[in-house]
This record gives sequence, C-alpha cells and structure tokens, in this order.
Amino acid sequence: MSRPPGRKQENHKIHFLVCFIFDIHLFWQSRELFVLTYGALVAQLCKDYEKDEDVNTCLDRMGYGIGVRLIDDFLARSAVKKCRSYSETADTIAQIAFKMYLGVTPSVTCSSPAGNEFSLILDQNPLVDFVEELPAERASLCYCNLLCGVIRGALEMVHLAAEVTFLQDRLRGDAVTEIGITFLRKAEDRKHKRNK
Amino acid sequence: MSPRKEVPGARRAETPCAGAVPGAGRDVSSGRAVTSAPGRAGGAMAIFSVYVVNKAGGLIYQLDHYAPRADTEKTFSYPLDLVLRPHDERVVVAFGQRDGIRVGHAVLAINGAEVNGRFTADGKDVMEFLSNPANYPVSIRFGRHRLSSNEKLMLASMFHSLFAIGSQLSPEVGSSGIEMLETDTFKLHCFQTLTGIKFMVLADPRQAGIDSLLRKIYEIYSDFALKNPFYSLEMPIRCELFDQNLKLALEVAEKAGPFGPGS
Repeated sequence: MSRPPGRKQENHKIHFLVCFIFDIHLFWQSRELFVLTYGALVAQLCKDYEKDEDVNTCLDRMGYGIGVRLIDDFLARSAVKKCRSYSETADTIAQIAFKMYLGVTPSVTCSSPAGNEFSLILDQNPLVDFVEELPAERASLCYCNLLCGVIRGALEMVHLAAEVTFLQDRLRGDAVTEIGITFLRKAEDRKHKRNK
Repeated sequence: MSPRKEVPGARRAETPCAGAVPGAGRDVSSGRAVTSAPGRAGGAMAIFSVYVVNKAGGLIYQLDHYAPRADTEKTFSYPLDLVLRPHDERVVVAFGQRDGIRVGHAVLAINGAEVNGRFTADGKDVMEFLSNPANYPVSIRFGRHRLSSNEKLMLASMFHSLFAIGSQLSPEVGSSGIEMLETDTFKLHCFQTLTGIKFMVLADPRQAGIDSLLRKIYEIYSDFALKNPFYSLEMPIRCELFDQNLKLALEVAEKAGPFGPGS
C-alpha cells in the first residue's frame, strides 16, 4: 500500500466513532449492523497492520477515545451514584453498563486479596456473533480489545486508573471470555472526584 | 408558592408617565422609556442563562436565554443633570438617579448610535462629547451593562474556585460543592457531574424543576456535544444541535413554571 498507514487509521477512527456511538443506541433494532460494523473495522485493521499487537493497540486506543465520551452518556442515563469501593465499581460496570450498551451481564469475581483486581466473565459476547474462530495467522488477536479500551477510558474520566485486558478469550480457544480489570492505585479520597 | 401576577421587567424599570412635568425643564421632550423585556403576562418564570464549565474551570458554553433589560432613552439639554463618570471600559451614572435611570447604569447609545466602551460610534470620547454644549440637545440611552464574554469567562472561573472552596468548608467529609446560590433577583443552580463538568443555570427564584433541567442538560451535552466526533473534549462547544436542543429544553422547563417537579 502506498498510503501511509497512519492516515488511514485516522479515517477509520472518525468513521468508526460515528457509527459505533450511534449504533449503541439503536442496538436492539440494528444489532446486526453494529456487529457487522465492528467486524468490518477489525478486518480492515488486520489488512493495515501486520502484527497482532499493533491491531490490538489500535483497537484499545479507539476504545479509549470512545470510553472517555461514553462515560458521560452512561452517567447521564443511568444516574448512578458515586461508587465507594472498587467492587462497587466493578459491579456497576458489569450489571449496569454492560447491560445498557451490550445487553449482556457478565459475572464479577474478585481475583486478588488486595481487592483491586476483578474479572468479568462473559457468557455471551454480541460482538463475536458472526465469528467462529480467529484465522491461523491472527492467533494472538484480541478481537474485542475495543471493549478494554472503552472501560479504561471511562474509568479514567472518573479518576480511576485501571488496566483492562482480556485474560481469556473463547475465540482463541479458551473456555470462557474473561476481562480483567486491575485498579492501579488507591482512589484518592478527594471529595467530589472519587468515583465509578 | 403563589405566582405573582406581574411582569418581571416592571420591577426594575419605573416607566415615566407620559405627561409628567420634568424636574427643572432639563428634559427637552418627555422621555421614552424603552422596556425591552418581552411581554410576559402573569406568573412569568424565566431561566436567565446557562453556563457549562469544564474540569479545569474554563467556560465552554454560555447561553443567555432571557435577559430582562430595561433601557431608558431620554433627550437632554445642556447642562446634563446626571453625574457621569468613567468606570472600567464604560461610562456609568454616578449620581442623579431618576426616571428609570439608575446609579450604575451605563451609557449604551448616544443619538441612536451605540457607544463603543468609552467612545462614541465616531470615536469621540463620551465624556468630552457630553461636556460640549454644542452637541446638545442629545439623546442618550442608559441601561444595565451586559457582561462581555471575557467577563463571563472570569466569573465562571471564579465560581469554579468557589465551588471547590464550598466542599472544603464543609464540616462533613465528602461534601459536594456549592449547589445553589440565592439572591433576591435570581437563583444560581449548579450541578457537577462525576466527571467534573459543571452545569450552571441562573433562573428566577420561583422557577421550579431546575434539578431535572440540569439532568436534562447533561443528557443533551452527552448526546450532542460528546457524540459529535469533531468536538474535542474540554473545548468550547460549538455544536448547532446542542444549541437547538438546549433551547427546547429551556422552553419546556419554563412552561412548567413554579409547580414543576423538584425545585
């Protein structure tokens, strides 16, 4: 390809952001369109980048851009109160946010004694409705890495730094799909900023 | 609360009677009081303005929805019986309040042409112009000076700081910031989201339903500003759809009047 890859990425970003954010609201009516749009995006990124890590990073970055905006939409529509602990935060993400935007409710488990690592186990993942398995040359692709970026971006806007990754992925042959959220530092006790 | 049956503008401007005998013959013609408040009959509630402040304290959106203005225009002969003095960038009335012209009102226009700060439309200094007998009789319009956009920026930042001080002054831990500021002519309601954006609405003290209006403005912001991919976060909001929907929401809230839900 003679065009520089960075330029194409910008077009994708804007195009995708527009589609994704509006699609979320029409989710139940045009769920297929939403899922297909996501698939088309991942396919195009695979064509643009050779390495799986690059695709994953790109998806994560796009997700971050969506997350920083989606958080206000979530807070405006769900009117949740400030979360007072990490486990409340993880529960809110799983039970309210996932339900609102993807229509599924993952189950939450705390996977560290310190109380700052959580796993969300997804039985159903609408984004992979039409995907059976990853192609052989894309074995380490995180197909839904966008979701990780979204969660990370959203948490950052409410002043909670977190690392979000896919710990297990059905598409890569694991038993379940598991998203791990690790809250990085103790939320500072700042009056009106501590949250979600 | 019983709705008061009066036009809000009337409380501010005393309209001079058409046939009144002027004080010492200083008015050449009986003044024409221009009340530019739109006529609203009985129990009129109003939302005056909306401000949106970002996390850093910068004003990113401002809308003046209804500004009750009572301008007074009169024709004067030499010598002027009002005492004027320059203040900041304007010429204000310092003494000699009468007939709807109050102390603090600024000179807005001379002979129909709007003044530019302390200078007339032609570039002459207002104070010099008015001390020259050759320029009389002259028609001057006085009124309350509207805030410039720079002043609004400064006031918004100042409120942002006060909001934070409010939560620090609290005897309880984890208190919110200032939620309402009340004066005799308006109430300022402030809602800070969990992401740090503040929405402020200045409304008539009797207006109800401002809490739900603030939530509605938050929704409109998340829909039309945030979902616009060409809008950068924390920057001034210049989205047409946001303006339109906000104005609609304000009109709905005003119609609800003093009996709306919440306060």
